[in-house]
Amino acid sequence: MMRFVFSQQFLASSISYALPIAFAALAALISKKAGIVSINIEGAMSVSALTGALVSSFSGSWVLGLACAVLAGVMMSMLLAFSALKLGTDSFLSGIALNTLASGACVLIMYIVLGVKGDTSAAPSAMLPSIRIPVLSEIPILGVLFEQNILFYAALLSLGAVTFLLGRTKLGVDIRATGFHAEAAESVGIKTGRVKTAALVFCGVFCGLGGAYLSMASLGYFSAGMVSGRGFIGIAAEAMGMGIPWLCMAFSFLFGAVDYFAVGSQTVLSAPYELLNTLPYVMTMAALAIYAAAAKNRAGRQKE
Amino acid sequence: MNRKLMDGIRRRRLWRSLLRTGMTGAAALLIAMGILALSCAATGYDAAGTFRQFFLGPVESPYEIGEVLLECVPLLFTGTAVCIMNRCGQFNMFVEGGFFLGAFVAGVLAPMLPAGMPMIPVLCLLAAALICGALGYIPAKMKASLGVDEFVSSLMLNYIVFWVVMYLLHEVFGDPDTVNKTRYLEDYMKLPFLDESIRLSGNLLIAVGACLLGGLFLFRTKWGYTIRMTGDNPRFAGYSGLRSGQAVVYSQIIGAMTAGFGGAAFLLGSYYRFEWTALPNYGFDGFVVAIIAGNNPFYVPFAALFLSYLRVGALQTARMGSVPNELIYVIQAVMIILFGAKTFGDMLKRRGGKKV
Amino acid sequence: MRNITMRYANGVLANDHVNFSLEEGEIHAIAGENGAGKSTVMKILCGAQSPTSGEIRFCGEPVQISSPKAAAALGIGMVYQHFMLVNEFPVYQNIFLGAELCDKRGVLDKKRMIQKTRELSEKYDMAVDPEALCGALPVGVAQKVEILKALARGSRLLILDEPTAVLTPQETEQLFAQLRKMRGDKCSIVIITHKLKEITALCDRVTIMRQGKDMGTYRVSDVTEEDISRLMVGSDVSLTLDKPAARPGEVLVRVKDLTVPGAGGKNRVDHVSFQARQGEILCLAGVEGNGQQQVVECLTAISKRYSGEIQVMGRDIRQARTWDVRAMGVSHIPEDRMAMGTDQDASILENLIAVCAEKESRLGLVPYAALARRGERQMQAYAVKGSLRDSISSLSGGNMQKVVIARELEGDPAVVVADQPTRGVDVGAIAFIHRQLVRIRDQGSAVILVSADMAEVFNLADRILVFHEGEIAAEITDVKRATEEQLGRYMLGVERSEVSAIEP
Repeated sequence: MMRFVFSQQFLASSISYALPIAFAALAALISKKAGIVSINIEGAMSVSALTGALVSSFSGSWVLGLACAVLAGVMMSMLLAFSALKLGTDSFLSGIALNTLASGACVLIMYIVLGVKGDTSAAPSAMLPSIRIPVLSEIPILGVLFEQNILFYAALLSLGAVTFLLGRTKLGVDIRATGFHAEAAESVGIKTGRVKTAALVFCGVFCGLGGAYLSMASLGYFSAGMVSGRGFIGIAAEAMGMGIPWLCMAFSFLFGAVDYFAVGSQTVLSAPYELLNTLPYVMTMAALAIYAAAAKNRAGRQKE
Repeated sequence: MNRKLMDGIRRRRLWRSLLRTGMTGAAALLIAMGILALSCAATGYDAAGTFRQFFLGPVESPYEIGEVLLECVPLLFTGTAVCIMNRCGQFNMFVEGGFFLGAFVAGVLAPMLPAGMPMIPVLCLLAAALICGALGYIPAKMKASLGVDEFVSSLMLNYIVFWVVMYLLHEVFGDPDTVNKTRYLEDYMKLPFLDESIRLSGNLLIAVGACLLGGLFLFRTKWGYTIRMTGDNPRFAGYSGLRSGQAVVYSQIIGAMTAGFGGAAFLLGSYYRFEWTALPNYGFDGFVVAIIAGNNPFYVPFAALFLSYLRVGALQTARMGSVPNELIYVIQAVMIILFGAKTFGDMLKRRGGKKV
Repeated sequence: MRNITMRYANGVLANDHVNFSLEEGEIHAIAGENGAGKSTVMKILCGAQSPTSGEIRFCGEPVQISSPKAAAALGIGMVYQHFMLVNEFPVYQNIFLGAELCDKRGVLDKKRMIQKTRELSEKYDMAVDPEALCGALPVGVAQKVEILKALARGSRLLILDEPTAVLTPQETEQLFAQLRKMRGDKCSIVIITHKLKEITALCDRVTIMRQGKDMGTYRVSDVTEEDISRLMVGSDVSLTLDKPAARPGEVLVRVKDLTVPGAGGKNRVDHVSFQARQGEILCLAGVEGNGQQQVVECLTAISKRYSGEIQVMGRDIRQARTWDVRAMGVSHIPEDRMAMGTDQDASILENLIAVCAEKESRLGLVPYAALARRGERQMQAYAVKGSLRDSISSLSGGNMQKVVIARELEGDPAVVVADQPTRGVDVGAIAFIHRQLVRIRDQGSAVILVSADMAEVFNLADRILVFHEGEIAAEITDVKRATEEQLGRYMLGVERSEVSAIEP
């Protein structure tokens, strides 16, 4: 068991499982900072995954596929923006609606384009390449970190970018102000509508990256339902990271590890795979509960 | 001001809100037609035929009508469940997992009970309701005591329940003679059919009954009253001495129970085995139904019928080979957004509302 | 500002042809009670609202102030009573919110902002730590940040909304010193307030407002505190009620040493004790915000954040919940019928039964038919026109309030807590509501009335406890001989009197 957990393969696979969750967490983070609950991350990732798979398959270019995946994610976010900010539908409901839309649209588009409804294995995606850093990647076990898919590095860059954006740019301040105290922001002339939309654009970008990873790196094609709750787990990871970018990523990685553990440990443990599959979700619930209890504790002590 | 004038005003207001609902529905349908047309253009299929199939297919033959009513049953149950929870301002998604689990419980329990026992189906229904109610309590309690958002926790619970059921189905309770199915349900274990040729089962009556009971619960009992007042204005409920904290919890439990009951009724009435391999999405659909019905269980039958009609129409077109039935999800999404939009139809202004 | 009129969408006339003028380099007070309209007219001046009619002239030129940014361009800045600060941000970030200093690449130039903040705070002698988090600051310092925020944007006309509401006496003195300094610097300052002492201590001129109208502008040196208080709180209409004498009986509510903590170490309610008796209307009088609200919340078990003892019908309610207290026979007419008193989405009938739905249910079923019959009776008795099935939002404010009162007085409760029962209600309904309160008193209930309305206090009260800054400033037992001036002085803290000791 120990050898299993501390193996190179475990690390590599955990990262693989964690990346979509990490992007989802970043997406949730940036929209939450602006004060929007973005429930549609799940659906946006799904649409992005499909778009990336199809475009890259037909064009042969992973660059194009990735770009279109990101665009798809942004488009879904813009739909949320339109629905919640312009039409006035509660953002929660809009998110649920868009998730439904995504699940239907994905199958629909798959059918129109490929004539199948299950997955796009008939049109394999152009895969996202990996980058191998010499020397560093020779390190035992940890060397795996330096031989990863480009989106892994993109995720790290994104983490840096988000941290920089929020902490050091005017837009970042506007976003956070809108999220903390929209009235105060309005009173100094910050256009909260525009700020929220900008935040949603970023959210869409990350959804796009996460979705692209699923269909162009993790698996070589799009499969209906492949997101399987990772968008929501990303939201949970963000909640536990308390809005601190690196902490959210850390929790995403933790969830990824548990996710992989559920699958990979079947050879080592003799527990049935179905029950192991519940692990990520059980852990999420437990983590949410513990986090909330701790927060309540802190608040209670502050009152005294 | 005299009485007649007031009544007149009230009647006019009723008409106006009905008109708004109608217009919203019409707008949604127009968009649906638009999407249909686009899909036809994309797949190159005969547009006219597709339209005809989509809109008229469901009433082509008694069998099709039976299908509409069949699809209606889960929506009636989940729609009512969501209505009750929404009225208290709670967005507990466990309706999905609860329905699934309820069906499983019934599928497993019915063959296990001794053949001579009276009222086997009823016992299964009750067992399903109790188990699902107990599970639905978990997100509710997490919300009440810890402040954990019930949406995410109930979604997680859905996945957990799904996998646990899959495990139990594969390893523990499956029919040893087949793969991944529960034991065959003999007639005495099932709910009676009303007309087997069109698959019209007694569970439809039970479902409509559930809607009626749900409506009576919300509008005639003190608990329903507390739920509604708490959902509308929690401060007012607190100030008036209503037990709103309790209402938040029991509204979710009852919603979960209804979902479980419904799942069991659906299985026992319309199927011979439990063989679902994925979450059937009836929970989310119940959401759509509830929104269209304005969170009023009495209107759920109409909303459910509307939705299942569209569903079957989509299934028909899919069978015909032109457009996959997943189209219906796109239409549903549009409907949620339109029906929920404040600037569009404000009859539902605060029913679906939750703080951003 | 001339002939400024502001009529809100729901018909409320907040400002009625108000005239206001400000000279350069003066400190001008706008005085008036809550709801007098002073905040509204200043919101118009700083661009947060547009008037229904009227004109504004700035330095002789007519202007349209359509947004806060437009006001800022003119050099007008407002410091709100509820601070517009992002608590999670440090001071310098709040000061430069929306107007951040960036370097060439678009990155925030924190060093420069911190530097500038220091410069500003030195210039105006307001010591703030630029990097401290606003949420951790004491209220007085947070207010300085708000003022600096306005000054950083180049405001020469500063409007302060109830600035001393949350300050300790020391902080108040500090603020006054700074304001005087700014006045010397040719800044013009408007202070919205209802505290007499501040007006006389700090301001050059005062404009008094009452019920949306302006009662004139005067030099502070020309008027006395009595004059100001008379103009502020005197009532126009005297509704005399023919009230039989009260016959007080047993003590039903006993409050001992009630203390409710507040922000910044200042208690909202400070060691208050009193009793309410059967058959007596006890009025907790005073300007809003002096602790009455907190007393009500503690009495009705809505809030448990207090120390001291509260007994209702002889039982300590420390452990009781709201429904327990109601079961003891305490009714509560809340101060805000929209936010707390009604469910705007429900029908009149459903609102009427809120307090008795639980009690009257048999086997869980609410007897709507029987309750509807009772409801009809109530509607008739309270002269509310409409059908029970109509939404309550269709009623006027006065009628809505009557429904609330009908609900709360049903069943002859032993204790009635009436919190500003006639606020925003038309004259006819006011008289009716007053009669109902007297009726319930004569039936043997104890009525605890919270009111800031002079006329109402004199009409209804059998005994008055005047609240000021969380304490009972005076107790008036012989209401007939008391005068409005006297009450006004107590309410505004000009004078205090001895309060009788608690009876055993």
